[in-house]
Amino acid sequence: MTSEKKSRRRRFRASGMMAGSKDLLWVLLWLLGIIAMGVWLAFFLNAPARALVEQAFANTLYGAVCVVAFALFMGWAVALALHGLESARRRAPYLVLTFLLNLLRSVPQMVGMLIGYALITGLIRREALPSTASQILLTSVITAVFVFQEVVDLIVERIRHYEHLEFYNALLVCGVPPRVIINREILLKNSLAHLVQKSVSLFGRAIFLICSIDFIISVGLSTEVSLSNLPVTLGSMLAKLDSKQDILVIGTAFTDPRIIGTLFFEHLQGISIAFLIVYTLMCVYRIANGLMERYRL
Amino acid sequence: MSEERYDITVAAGRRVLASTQNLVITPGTVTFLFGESGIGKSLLAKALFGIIDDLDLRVRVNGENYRTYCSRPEVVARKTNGFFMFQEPSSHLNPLQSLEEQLHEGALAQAGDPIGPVRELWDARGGADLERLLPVFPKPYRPSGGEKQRVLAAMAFSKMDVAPERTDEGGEIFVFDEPTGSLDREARDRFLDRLFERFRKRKQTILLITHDYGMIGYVQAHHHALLGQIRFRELVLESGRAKVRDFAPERFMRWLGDQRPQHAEYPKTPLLRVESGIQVFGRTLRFLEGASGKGEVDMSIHPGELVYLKAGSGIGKTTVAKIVIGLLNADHFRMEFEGVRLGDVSPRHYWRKNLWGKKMTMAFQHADESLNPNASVEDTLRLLSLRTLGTAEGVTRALEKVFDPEEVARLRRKKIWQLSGGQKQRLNILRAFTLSTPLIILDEPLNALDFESIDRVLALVRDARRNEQAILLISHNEDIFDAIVPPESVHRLESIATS
Repeated sequence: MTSEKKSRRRRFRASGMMAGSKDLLWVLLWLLGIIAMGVWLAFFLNAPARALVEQAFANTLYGAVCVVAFALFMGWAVALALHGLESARRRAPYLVLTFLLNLLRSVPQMVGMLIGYALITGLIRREALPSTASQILLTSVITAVFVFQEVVDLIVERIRHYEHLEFYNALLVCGVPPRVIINREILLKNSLAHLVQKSVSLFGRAIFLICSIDFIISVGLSTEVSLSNLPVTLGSMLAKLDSKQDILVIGTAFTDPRIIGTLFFEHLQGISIAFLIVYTLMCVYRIANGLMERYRL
Repeated sequence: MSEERYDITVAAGRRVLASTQNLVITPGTVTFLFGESGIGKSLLAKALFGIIDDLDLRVRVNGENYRTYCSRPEVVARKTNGFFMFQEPSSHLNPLQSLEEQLHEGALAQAGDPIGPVRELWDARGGADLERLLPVFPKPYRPSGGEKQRVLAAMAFSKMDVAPERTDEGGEIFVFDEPTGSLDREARDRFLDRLFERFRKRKQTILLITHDYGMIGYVQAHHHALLGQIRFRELVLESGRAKVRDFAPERFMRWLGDQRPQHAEYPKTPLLRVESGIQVFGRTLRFLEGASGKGEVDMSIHPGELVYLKAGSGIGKTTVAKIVIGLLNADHFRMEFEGVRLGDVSPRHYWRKNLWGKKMTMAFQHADESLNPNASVEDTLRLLSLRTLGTAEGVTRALEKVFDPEEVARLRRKKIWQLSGGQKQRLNILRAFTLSTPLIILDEPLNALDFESIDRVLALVRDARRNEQAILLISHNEDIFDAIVPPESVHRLESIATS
């Protein structure tokens, strides 16, 4: 093969890889961005503030991952229940479950989560949630309750798609149990890309909701429980006075460009928190879109 | 007559979808192209005709860039004056135009009576059905597959009637891609008669792609005088590359002649008895005795018996099969299986708990849809949880019933989507037989298969019958099954609108 042909083939492969794996590219960019920021903070942000930023970032990611896990589990369980009731032609319980799901759907996510936070506040006041981990877990469960319907819709849609093909019936008449057909043949072998894409998109949604709610409740939910009692997250960090002042400096920099340089050395806490939220959300959005493109979902 | 030889490659990125170096078309002849499904017959024919959308594909014909090939005068003439009848009629027909309007569209309107060729394809009894059919739209009315195929064939015939004489720039070509896949034998024979009638007059170039080897017998018996102008060719995969080779019709005829109906003494009590008069979708389905449909009878199947259920496309053969196997609810239905009476009020979970995979199973018509595209060949069999398939040797032994040993080694870890249509169909059929249930329902088991594969599937049928397994068969391959199934085991299905 001539060298020209080889290089043409290499260029073709490289362009194909870039076009087909935008999701991986954005995962890489996200990691690089976070690492670069971590290095920068190590040099220019004081140790206590840096520890707080790291803690907030870790708690937010932990919370978001838990939301995804709970949402997937709840979505899977409810979708299977719906499908089971529908197949068994048990109309009354099917309608009740559908009604409850629709009722949940009608509650705005923010409102639902605020109610959930009120519950957490009550539990903290009774000292029923002693550890940070348990508080984050319960927060995640509440967040998942308001986003898991998307997983239900996805799984039900996937099952219906395959039921319309002969594939589902063909396996049934071979004596393969419906639970094996759904879980192994439909979800694991034919819907993994869909579920991963949904998980990534839920991950982004969870970060957005956690940050928004923590920011909103920065005024405190009661005289005894405030942000200082709840685990620190990117949202609650952004609501701190220091961060707010740092963010305000960005506005000032528009009218006084001389202070732009100070943004990256003297106002790092607020700037880095804002960067972490916005950059992570943007990357997650791009990753989810990349997955859709790659697997033609 | 000078032969036109084509070297065609169609690829998507690095994956070659279809490729052959020796597709030979002789102008002024009829070429039958056989071969198993999914190895590229349709794609090669489309490339030859100049109708592939090459936006995402890399297509080369005789070493030429596809755009250059398509702009050659003979290819332009071929498209203008010829016709391509697509395999899937739904993709050919415009859902926003009535069938009658489509029969008068473009160049077809030049034919004096574009409805005439459609009438030629309907029998005398079906005249009223045709009048009802012509004003409707393909959707939502949804004519049956057979009705759509006949309308498309009529369009092709109209185009043949109005096509100009061949010029030096080359002539037209008429491609028929599986034109009779949904037709019963009577309708298929009518199609062939009309096609050869036109061929006798105009000597146009015809490429007919089909899996129906039975056409060979009909052509030999009824159009023998034209055999000198007919080429039988077969597209086969050799070391992963498609190759066109001549197919000797005598080979098939000899094989068909060797087939004998297997008469047997069956126990008095049938394994399955389905009462005639199933009511479903506003129609009553009745079983008639024998191929000619003498009188109404219940359909009984004994252990070891092969019962052949015949009917035209769209009558309801698959519907009956799905009702028997408990996948479809009928308004009225009664059957007795192993002495247990079942009917439209029987709970579906009875089939699931007691029958599916244990007492009865079914191989569906479309292997493409019946197999999990992302499962491997090995997983497809292992999913059946049979002890015989617990080891690698067990899986190999099972696969060797329908695949060559060297093919098995190559295929077992392959995903279903990577298989050809014929390989999928063989696996689809094998899965049903591997379960060894007392009753097996086969819906179009010879679909998409080449000659060798047909022989293998029929060997499975013979083995199953020896093991006292009963088989309910639905198939359009009447030439083959009429030679195998004794007349007393044939039933004709009739559909009557329920008042």
